[in-house]
Amino acid sequence: MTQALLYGVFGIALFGIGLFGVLAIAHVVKKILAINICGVGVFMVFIANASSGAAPDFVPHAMVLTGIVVAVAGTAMALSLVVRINALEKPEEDA
Amino acid sequence: MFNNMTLSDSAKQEADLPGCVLLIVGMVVVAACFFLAMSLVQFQPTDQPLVTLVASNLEQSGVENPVTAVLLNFRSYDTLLEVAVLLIVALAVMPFSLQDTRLPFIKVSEPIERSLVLEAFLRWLLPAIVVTSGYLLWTGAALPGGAFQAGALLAGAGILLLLAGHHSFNFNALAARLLLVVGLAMFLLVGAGVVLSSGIALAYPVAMAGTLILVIEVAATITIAAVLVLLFCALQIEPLGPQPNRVEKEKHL
Repeated sequence: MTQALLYGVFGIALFGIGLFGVLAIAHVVKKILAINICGVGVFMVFIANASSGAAPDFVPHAMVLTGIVVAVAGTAMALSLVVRINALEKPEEDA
Repeated sequence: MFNNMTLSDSAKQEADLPGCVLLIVGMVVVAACFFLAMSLVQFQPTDQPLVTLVASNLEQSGVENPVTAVLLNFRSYDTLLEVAVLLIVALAVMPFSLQDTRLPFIKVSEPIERSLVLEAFLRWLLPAIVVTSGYLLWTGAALPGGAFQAGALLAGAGILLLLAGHHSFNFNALAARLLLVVGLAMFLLVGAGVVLSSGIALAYPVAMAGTLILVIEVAATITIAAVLVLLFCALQIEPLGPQPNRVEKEKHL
């Protein structure tokens, strides 16, 4: 069992934890957190696989770097939707 | 603000799943992960064509760091679209206000709560962060680093500045809008400009590739930092520091 494989297997475990959270938890903020955990798991598998060969593969590195920024942006977008939903659900308290 | 959001708010309409369903979902997820892990164990990377492709073309990319070469030369469409995604999210999250467009980008005022430790710390830290960010950007050509790392660091400086409470950012200002679009604009400009010399969009001429990549990266760093700070600002219901709107409302009452 190599180090890269270990990281890959734990990445899959993280993906599973996140997937369970997305499916099982009703609270939207926690759901967003779960999606993030899912994403981190995918990134880990990607990076671990990139280093499993003789020479490290830099294309997955670049893709994960891109993916992290897009994941942050997507999370912020989702959170702003949550804020909006929350504001619409109790309009009388805001006024 | 998410600390103040009661956890029952969203849960009251859609309650958590019953225990037996949770058990089934859990078992399915565990089974799927086990299957994935097994296929990962059995996966044998026989040959990696991309490794040799990147290594053999690195000299033409204009940079020495293979990750930067992939990001901004070999697969620059990815990065172009990523900067576009950042701009779209910024547009979606941004609190638009036509009245604020003529106000300055950075507003300085007296904070409600002063944190002496944070203020004193920031005086030392902020210049260091800016310099380090510039170093990361520059060193990205040869070593790990580049636009994303530099932009994230710079955004951290901006958020620390917000937390200190003396400054607040108005992203409707013209200067802020320019900061938000400069990355994508520069990327498109360079990408379209190289058509004149090479005939293909985003295919930089070898002699100028290093310079063009640096120009794009500087612009992308600024945009990434601005967008990340905007995301932080936009997700605050209770703004830090002075709250002019609230004060005005109270005056009217």
